[in-house]
Amino acid sequence: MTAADVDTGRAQPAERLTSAWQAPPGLPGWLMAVNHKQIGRRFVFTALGFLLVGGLQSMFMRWQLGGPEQDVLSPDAYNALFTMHGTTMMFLFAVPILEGLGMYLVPLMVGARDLPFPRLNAFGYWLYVFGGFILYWSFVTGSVPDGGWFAYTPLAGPEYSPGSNLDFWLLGVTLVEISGILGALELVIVILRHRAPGMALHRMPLFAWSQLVMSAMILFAFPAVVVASLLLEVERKTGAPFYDPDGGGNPLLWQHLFWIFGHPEVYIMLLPATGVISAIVPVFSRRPIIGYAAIVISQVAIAVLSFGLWVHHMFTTGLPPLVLAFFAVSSALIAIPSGVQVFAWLATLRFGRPRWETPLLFIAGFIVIFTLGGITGVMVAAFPFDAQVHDSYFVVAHFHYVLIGGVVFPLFAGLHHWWPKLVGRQPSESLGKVAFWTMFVGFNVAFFPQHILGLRGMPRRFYTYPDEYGWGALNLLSTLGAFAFAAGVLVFVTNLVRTARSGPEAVDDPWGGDTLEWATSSPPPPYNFAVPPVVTSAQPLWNPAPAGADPTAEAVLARLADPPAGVREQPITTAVDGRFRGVALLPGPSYWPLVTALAMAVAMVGVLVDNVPLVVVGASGTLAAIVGWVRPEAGTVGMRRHELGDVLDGRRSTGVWGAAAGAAVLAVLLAYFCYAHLYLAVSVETWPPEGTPPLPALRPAVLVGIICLAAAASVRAGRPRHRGADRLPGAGLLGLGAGVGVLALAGGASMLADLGLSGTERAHDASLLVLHAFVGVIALAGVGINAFAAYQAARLGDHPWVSAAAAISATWWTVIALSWAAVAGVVYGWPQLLGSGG
Amino acid sequence: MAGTEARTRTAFAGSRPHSPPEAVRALLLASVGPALWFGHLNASYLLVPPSCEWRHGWAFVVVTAVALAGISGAGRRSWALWDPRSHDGPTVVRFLGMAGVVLAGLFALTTLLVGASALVVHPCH
Ligand code: HEM
Repeated sequence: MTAADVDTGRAQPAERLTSAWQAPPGLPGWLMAVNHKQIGRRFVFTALGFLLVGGLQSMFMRWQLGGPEQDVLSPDAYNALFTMHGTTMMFLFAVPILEGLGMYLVPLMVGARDLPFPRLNAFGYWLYVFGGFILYWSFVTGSVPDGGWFAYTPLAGPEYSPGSNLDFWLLGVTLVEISGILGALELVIVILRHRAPGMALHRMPLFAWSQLVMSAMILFAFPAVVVASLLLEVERKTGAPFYDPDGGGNPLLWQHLFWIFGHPEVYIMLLPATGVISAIVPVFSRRPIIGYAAIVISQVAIAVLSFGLWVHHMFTTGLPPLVLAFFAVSSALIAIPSGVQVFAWLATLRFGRPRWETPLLFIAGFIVIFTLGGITGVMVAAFPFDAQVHDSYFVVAHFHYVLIGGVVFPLFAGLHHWWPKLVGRQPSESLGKVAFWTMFVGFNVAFFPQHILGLRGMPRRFYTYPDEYGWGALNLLSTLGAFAFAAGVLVFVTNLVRTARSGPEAVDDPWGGDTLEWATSSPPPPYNFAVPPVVTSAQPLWNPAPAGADPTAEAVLARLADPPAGVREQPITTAVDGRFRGVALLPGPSYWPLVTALAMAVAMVGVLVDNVPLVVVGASGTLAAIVGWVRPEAGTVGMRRHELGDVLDGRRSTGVWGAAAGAAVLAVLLAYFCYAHLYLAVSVETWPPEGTPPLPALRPAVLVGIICLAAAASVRAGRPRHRGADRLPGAGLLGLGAGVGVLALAGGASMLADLGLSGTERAHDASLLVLHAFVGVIALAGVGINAFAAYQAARLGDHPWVSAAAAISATWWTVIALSWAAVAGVVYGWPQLLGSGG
Repeated sequence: MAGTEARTRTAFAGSRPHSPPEAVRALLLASVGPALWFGHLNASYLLVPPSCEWRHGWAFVVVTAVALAGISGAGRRSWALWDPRSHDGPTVVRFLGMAGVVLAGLFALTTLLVGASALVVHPCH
């Protein structure tokens, strides 16, 4: 039952395998890197940097609050610091580090060689870096965001925040959230399509389950804040009054959209952290986890329930008591699956033989702190209690217990546990233990007194308090505890950094782990597994698969140890039962992800500084970079069809899964735009407002929809037939699809022009314009995809690139037709159904 | 391109084109409970203003009954797939069947409590 029992063929990797997967040396190789381990490590290191920065900000705040009426910080500086501290911790530290850990570990755990779209992954990393850069550039320009980490309107709107502070926040956060969405797409697809043969869903490591659930949640939750931010940025730049009651908007729309994202966000951070725990507890208890199925089911239940809780952040906004009751019930019930997980870990510890080493100590710390945070969570889920403590230090204490207990402690457990795999060196146990005890004691001294301060009425987000309120002593204690906690964090990070430079070399499996990452060397080779493994158990290292468990798969997998020169191959399996299906080809290092992200960031900066030429340069640069990125010569997919062998292409390729997942994200984005429109329609007294021009009947909209469907149909007909296809019909029909698409765009645009809407005066009109623009932009992209695919089809004929592009284009046009159906239904159909005709 | 020909000749003998429909069915059944609960919560939320106008909460009873019927139906089918009395080892279908039963139970309880709160709190308050 050791790593050596799993035959990954690591002993003698073929030369070609190493050279196919290795990144080029030096700075160019660093800039072009796409491998999941490099990118995952970068996410982890960058996010750790942001943790230290966010921590430093909190130290200044605690210093200021350590005594009454201090003037370490001005009121404005305090506003800026709590905003940037919250934003940094939530957007730049917690989610990226957990996703980064997933990017590094999940492919190893499921027996894959890389993420399915390595370049997209690198692109996501650069977006994250540029998003963070934009947020922090605000310190240089002196316009630091100061509207709180949830940037409520109307405070964040153009009237009360006229400077560019909030623009930095909105644009920076949008880039970071797009990066989060891309990472989630990668993780969902690697888990569903690239697991080791035999790894059916009931044999998947619990850490991978938690990453799957987290990623699915991100795909549904992050688009809400992207939509909210886009609408607010449009309002700030153009005056379109989405959130302004004077123009028929509603400031509460922001709160709804933000918390539809914000509440799941808490679980998006917690669930992967619990995945870390479920990975560590069995290893350090030296027995399989008790309640595997119960943990998986609890994770899914928590994820779903978390999407029905957003209103519990709005208990004091004047919603009817019955609505509050609905959400209070659902909020309280989330305690059941949360509790089930805790009991499963405790039972595993009780019936195992625990080794109290650093990772397990951090888990024990988690159980104590998170349970206390959970108890205060159930208290604030009762809205009469919430009404008393809302916006007080009780809430500050509650969410730090949940976030630091639920995210930082398990994460540190995971970092210590997997550090040997990440850097190839073993961290010091004694320093790890010193860090744990300092953090544990420091944390409780810092945050427990805040419950009492909150109950005594101390409000959050106040930069100081008068002496006579008697809050000084507890605040001083809290500050001392915070400094102790920070010292513990520094010891922990120092241990990691020192180890990475000069620690003892780590063996392959220092803890006696049960999952596949421990079957590789520390750190793993660039291709992870010379021969990708087959598994027959949920603990593949403790119960290795017998030879011949899946002879078909094994025959193909054995050949992957010796690939054609420069070719990166990765197995594909079925989503539910993990049966072997074939092989995917992955692209190698490239500058395009960096260039594309840079161009996008330039466009964002153009918006920020109101510089139209800069926006144009950025946008056209982005477009050009995308063309450079996807052209057939840029990837390994330049192989001809007869060279492909076991490779799945066209409709069966991973690219089509990517397109489908991308389409799902677009659908979610559109759903939130429609939600915003409908929310305004039902919450605003006169809708549509007086003076709104009447909308036309449904008929022209139906016509535009039919044209979109025609475009989809022509693309489907134009897909090259696999063997011996005639090249002209493929190119011709793809081109026809592009032409029909232009027709649909022209039809939609002329309908819109006829309406005579005024987006800057009325929220109703602005919302209609946004909905139309959304479909217009994706249709424009569809025309671009088709035109480019038609050109390549004419050039290359029946080529795998063309069949993949045609399959993607067919999916895309179906999405456009469905999106238009949704918009037409909301804009033209719904008012007619209600008889308002407007 | 050595080895290419050998590759081309490999077929996926033994691998079928799609996941077995039973496993996919089990997955879909497991998602019915959560989906209906979500629909029920949002429908109940939207029904508050009209119910206040109608001065009656019957609409909540109707949507709760419909949601509960759907959830329990899916739960029963999942139970058949799980078949706890079977002595077969764990399979992905049985695993998903069990998930379907437990999720149906949890979300039926949540739906019931959401629906019941409409009997206690008046929509016009
Ligand atoms: C060294 C540990 C930490 C200390 C001493 C600390 C301290 C503070 C302080 C003083 C505030 C402002 C309270 C107020 O005036 O309302 C705050 C807010 C906040 N903290 Fe922390 N914090 C720490 C770590 C974290 C971590 C790890 C996270 C998240 C993972 C986090 C998330 C937040 C959030 C979301 C806010 C709210 C910001 C807002 O009101 O907009 N904190 N924290």
